[in-house]
Amino acid sequence: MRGTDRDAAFSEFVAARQTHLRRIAYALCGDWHRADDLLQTALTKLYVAWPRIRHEGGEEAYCRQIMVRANIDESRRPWRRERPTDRLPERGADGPTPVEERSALFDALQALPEQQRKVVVLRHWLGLSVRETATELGINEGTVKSHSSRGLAALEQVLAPQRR
Amino acid sequence: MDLKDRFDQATSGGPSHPPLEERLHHGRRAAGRRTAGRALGGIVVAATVATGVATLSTGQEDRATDRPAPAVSSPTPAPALDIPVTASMENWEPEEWARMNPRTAELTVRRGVTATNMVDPAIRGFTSVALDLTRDGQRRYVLLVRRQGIVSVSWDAPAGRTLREFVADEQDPMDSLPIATVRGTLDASLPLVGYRDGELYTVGGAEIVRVVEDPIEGFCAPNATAAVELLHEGVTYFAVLGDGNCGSSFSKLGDVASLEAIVARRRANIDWAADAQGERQRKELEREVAEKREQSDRR
Repeated sequence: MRGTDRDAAFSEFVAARQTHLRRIAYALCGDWHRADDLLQTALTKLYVAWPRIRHEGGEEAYCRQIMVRANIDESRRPWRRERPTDRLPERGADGPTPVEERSALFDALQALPEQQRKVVVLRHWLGLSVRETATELGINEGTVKSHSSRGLAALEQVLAPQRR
Repeated sequence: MDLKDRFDQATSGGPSHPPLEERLHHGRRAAGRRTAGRALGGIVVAATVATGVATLSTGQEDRATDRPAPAVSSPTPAPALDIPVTASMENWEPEEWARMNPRTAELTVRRGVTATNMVDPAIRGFTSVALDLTRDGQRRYVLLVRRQGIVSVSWDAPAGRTLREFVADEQDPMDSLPIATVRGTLDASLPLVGYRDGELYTVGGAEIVRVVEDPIEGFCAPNATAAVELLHEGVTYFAVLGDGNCGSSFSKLGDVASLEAIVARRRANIDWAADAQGERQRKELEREVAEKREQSDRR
């Protein structure tokens, strides 16, 4: 595949799917800037592997798998790579969604243990099967089932009082 | 509002995306590094072979490591059965004993794993293999299934079962479903109905009352979709779901009035999300045009 073909096809995919993929990353890490970093990591790896992944299909699944697996390692490192500067940016960066705008569900999701959170996102938001969830996370199906049930039970504890 | 809708709303918005060129730049740079790394790798392999000769001449013992095998042949344990399994040590996850190439369906087992039985195909109609494997005295059944270019893997201890019984246990259709419908509350989703490979599946005891095929234009395209009304343990449930990972909507009678009502709600959510995305893109475009105009004016 020539470089220009790769760039064109890759750009088309990114333009179409980056919003959706970043929402997944946001659900996994709870911070828009970290979500951007996570998505960029996945897209960079996708670009490198593009000829093979394009041939096999499943570009989105490939990105998603990188994000759900990479998040563990990334969270062990400081996310913000801030450097002092004497120049202010021309335009203020958009901040994260204000706390009051975030739903109780989302906060409860972020409070779940990491693996439970990932299972809930993949299985109950994106609608992956038990098997697909297990494959993407690299864990056994039984583990997916137990995380799913515990994760939902925890969310239900938070959400049930709101309905009363 | 069901769990999926709540997630949809909670994750909408966010800052602007960086320009596409920036995304491409990161990718190109990484691809360049990888090409350089490969060239360097070739030199390292050559050096390893030369060092190996020197080591043998001094009589030192070779030690097994978890590092990728060099490009020279090395003795690997032969599988107990004459089946198309090869040994490799590259990039294995800790709990991964066997894998299937998603493109060629070639099987590979990890070094130190012995295959003693195989069922091929394990599931009729799919490229699939069940293996009886042993590693360090531990025995495990593994099922590898390729669907739509994605290989899924599951495993379990034999627990007194035959390999075929293990395959049957792994094929509970409800576990293969994309997602679930509500039972009990609005937010706790449990599998009642799902769509997979062109078929609707339900749990035992659930009765499908009505199905409306492709109820919302463009939802989950090009996959088949359906709105389903079903009865389970005396309660009427509704679902809008597709034969793909598009997310689904579920509710029950009382929370929504009818199947038509949940379809209308789902359609409204799709329209809302499309409008929100369109508005963001419009604003980004306007800003880019304004910036370019400003640059042009300055010149």
